[in-house]
Amino acid sequence: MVQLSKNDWTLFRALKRAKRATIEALSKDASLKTEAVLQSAYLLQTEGLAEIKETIETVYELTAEGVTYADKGLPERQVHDYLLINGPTLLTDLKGIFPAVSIAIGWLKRREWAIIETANGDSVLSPRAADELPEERILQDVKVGIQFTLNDVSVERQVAEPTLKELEKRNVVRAQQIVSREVALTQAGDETPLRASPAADYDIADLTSELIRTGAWRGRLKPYDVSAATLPLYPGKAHPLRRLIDEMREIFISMGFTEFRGPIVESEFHNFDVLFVPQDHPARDEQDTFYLSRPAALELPTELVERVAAAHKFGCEGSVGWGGEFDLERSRRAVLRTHTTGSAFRYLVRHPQPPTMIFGIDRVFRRESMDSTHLPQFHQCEGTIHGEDLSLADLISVLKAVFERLGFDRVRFRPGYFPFTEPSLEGDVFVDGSWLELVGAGVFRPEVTQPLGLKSVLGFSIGIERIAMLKMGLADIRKLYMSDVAWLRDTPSVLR
Amino acid sequence: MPVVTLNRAELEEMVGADVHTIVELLPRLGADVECVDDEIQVEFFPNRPDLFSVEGAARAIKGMMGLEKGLPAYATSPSGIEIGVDPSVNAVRPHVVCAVVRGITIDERTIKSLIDLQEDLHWGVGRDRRKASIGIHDLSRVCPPFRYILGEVAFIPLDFSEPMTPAEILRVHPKGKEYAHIVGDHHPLILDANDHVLSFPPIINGELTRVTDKTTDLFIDVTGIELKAIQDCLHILVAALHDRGASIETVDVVYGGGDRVLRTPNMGISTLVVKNSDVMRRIGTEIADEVITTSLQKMRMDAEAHAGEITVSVPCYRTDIMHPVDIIEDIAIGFGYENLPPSFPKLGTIGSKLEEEQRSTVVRGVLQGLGFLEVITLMLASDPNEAVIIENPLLEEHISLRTSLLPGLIDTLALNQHREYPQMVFEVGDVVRLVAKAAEERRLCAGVIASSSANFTEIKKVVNAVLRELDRPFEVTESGDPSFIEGRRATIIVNGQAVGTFGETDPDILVQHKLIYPVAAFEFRL
Repeated sequence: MVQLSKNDWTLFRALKRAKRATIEALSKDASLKTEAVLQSAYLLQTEGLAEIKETIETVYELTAEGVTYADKGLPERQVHDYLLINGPTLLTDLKGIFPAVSIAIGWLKRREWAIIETANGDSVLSPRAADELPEERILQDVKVGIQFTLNDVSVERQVAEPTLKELEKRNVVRAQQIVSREVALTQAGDETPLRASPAADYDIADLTSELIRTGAWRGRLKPYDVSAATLPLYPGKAHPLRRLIDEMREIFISMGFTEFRGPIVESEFHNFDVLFVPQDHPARDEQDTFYLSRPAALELPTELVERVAAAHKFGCEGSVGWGGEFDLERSRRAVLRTHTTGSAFRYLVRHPQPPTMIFGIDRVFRRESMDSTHLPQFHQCEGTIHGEDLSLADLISVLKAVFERLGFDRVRFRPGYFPFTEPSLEGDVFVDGSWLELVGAGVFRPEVTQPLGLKSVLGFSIGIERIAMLKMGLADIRKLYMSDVAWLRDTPSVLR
Repeated sequence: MPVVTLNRAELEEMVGADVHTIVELLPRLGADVECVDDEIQVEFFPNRPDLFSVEGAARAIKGMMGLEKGLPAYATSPSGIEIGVDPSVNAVRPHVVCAVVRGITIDERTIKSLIDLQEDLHWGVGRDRRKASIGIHDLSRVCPPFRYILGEVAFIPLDFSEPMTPAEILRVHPKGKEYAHIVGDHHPLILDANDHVLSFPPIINGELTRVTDKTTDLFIDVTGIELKAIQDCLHILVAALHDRGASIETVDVVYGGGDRVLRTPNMGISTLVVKNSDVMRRIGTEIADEVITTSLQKMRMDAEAHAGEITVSVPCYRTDIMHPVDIIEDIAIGFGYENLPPSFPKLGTIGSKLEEEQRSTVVRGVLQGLGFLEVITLMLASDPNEAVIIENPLLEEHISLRTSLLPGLIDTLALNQHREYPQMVFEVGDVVRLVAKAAEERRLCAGVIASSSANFTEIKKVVNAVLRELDRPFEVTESGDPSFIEGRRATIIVNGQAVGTFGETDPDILVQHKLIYPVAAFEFRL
């Protein structure tokens, strides 16, 4: 059990006496403010010693108008009284005395409390008998505090119902919801003994600057229940995917890589031709790639195109190429880049002097339907190394280092296939009992590097979302892009 | 990538090992085993169509296991059969190559395996029959010589009982409808000496030459638009049949009435010379000549080393070998990627970040400090206004690239109506705008506040704070942006240039998204 404060014990004592009572009654009995009673009652409830029962009741109370009428009588009663005292009176005169006379006249007519005769263009009102109305009785009852609650089933209440509705219509009374709380002792509360002697008299809840200055707080600060729950507080923070991207950026920069970017709207030339992907390769089908209708075609660097086209048609030193025709129109077509490999080669063409180590983490697009493991766009981490005589062994060592820093120490590399690398490899990490593919890589073919005037080039592409899903334990990739604010608030900033 | 179905019993029989040993080994061939049952589903790389059959897979596995080594021998003898090519076919499908295969035992399993390989080749090499397509016939039903012509001879297509003209087949037959676009109005046919139709490539064969369990001798045609592709298909197919115990005979493809004769299949080997020093450089470790030759023999090639050069004999079905680097990869696979020594490249480069990313990092930090949660939303959008447009979208809501981050943020709020308020979210990301008909990428920063007290002043405070931290003094003027409430919207101006807007979001937009609290938003270019 948590430590009960002095107030808590006081309430508990009162409750033991009453067994069940309203907050107000307990407040009086225990000499505690109602807020203090509520606070302690909730604590007792948490401890299982008491139970708070809330009832919501609808009761009628007087409106501002109602208060006036309860005092002076309903408008028709006021006019009738005047007529009784002063005898028949002209309507014009009544208007001067009672501003709301038109309301009164309507009711006088309906209740047959007055006769209205017309003479010389004016009306004269003469009083008739007028018994006390049920409305008037109830008005007085409400005034003195008799509550006509909606859930009251007594005969009086039933009889009063139509009259109350009538008064509500006339805006004399209105229905009001009242929450009343009762506290009841539970079985456990009944069995728990009262503490023998109350603790020291801690009477100060909040420290103030006055108390600090005077030192008057000493020995009087109420101890808290340190285990009590608080409302959650959430900081502004980075998206989990961003944190992963930033972590990876730091890794690459620490390893000597320079960050690069390339365009999202790309030509087929830069996305495919430069990489020696044959023009009739299935990856270039409308099936897999988003083509653009605006802009539909892009300008190409003529001289570079010639060199690349030659490699496609005739190969390069020691190779035969794809043969066939090279379609320039096709090369110009605009696509949403399907990978960032083309962007890396744009960089190498601008910076042809080795050594170069570059990386870039950016969005790529594939024409795929959305489901729990596929999105039409995702992030790729592209790494490219340009130097003299770089090898497959170099590539594997770099990838091992990257994955080690990402926290994956069991990795394996097996043969892979990409049209632009030879040898090619795929890298898997071992997580939760199975191998998961995270990277595709290879040594770029001479048909790619020679036309661009490059030496040996290593490249790799790492799928970011897959790692994110692993590290965040996500089963649905869409969660990364359709953010649930509660998920963002609750996901720790530290990644697994 | 192609998923190939291999019959388990056949594979075990052909390799001479149990399925578990085989499945263990397949990843080292670059294959992904998807399912092991009576049938094994294996995903091979598209550059190795020679593995798309149980015979081809068995051949490679036996090499890896050391059960058989080096180049398999494929002897051929002339069949004496000719096929004449009529120049008219140049208009649509100029090339044909053929082979005769004798002494094959056909059962249900063989037929299925043949059809599977045929379909995988149609897809992998033939580009869905456009580049190459294969016809397999019972040779005993027809009478050579054959002719490859354009024509309109009626015949009974497979699975039908009445004769139809090629034009009718394109209209009525399911395969005709599916592949009519490849031939159009030109109808290539292969006929025998009696004008009986063997095949209407690449659409359908004739019922006449259907392969049955009584068939022992096959005639195979491959037609297409590229000679290399159809030869590749033929070589892979007859090599597989040869591995099943059949003998292979050549067919003479005769052009121009005898001016030029092409004898197919040509099952000869090709040779490539690889320098040991190149192997070493590309793989990254010293490998002795003997190790290289052994590795290549495991990959079913022959190799001879002499004075630092390795002469490699490559079988005809290895259609992926274009350059010595392709041989080097096979050496690396034979050597084992896992056996390569550690070797980090010593280039001495110094890492650096992009300035644009650095600026983005700063602004993210500021917004997080102000209590905003970062979100990342999709770049595909539905608004075509000033946007890059996708020609082949998959969804109506993904027809363009976004030009603003705000719609994504409003969508995020709409997704989170049942979550605790206030909600403050932001995104720093790229948009693409169409400027003078060209795509222009921009990095933007945008944020929204949704709460009962979100208003112009609250968002202006945020804009003030962020731009102060970025050290970008700015002015504001009234804005006309229709996504905000008139009179409660402003343009952010830095150095005389409009860089963004902020204000109270138009309640009509909120209602569209079923949002019930006021939203104040900002967006500016970084």
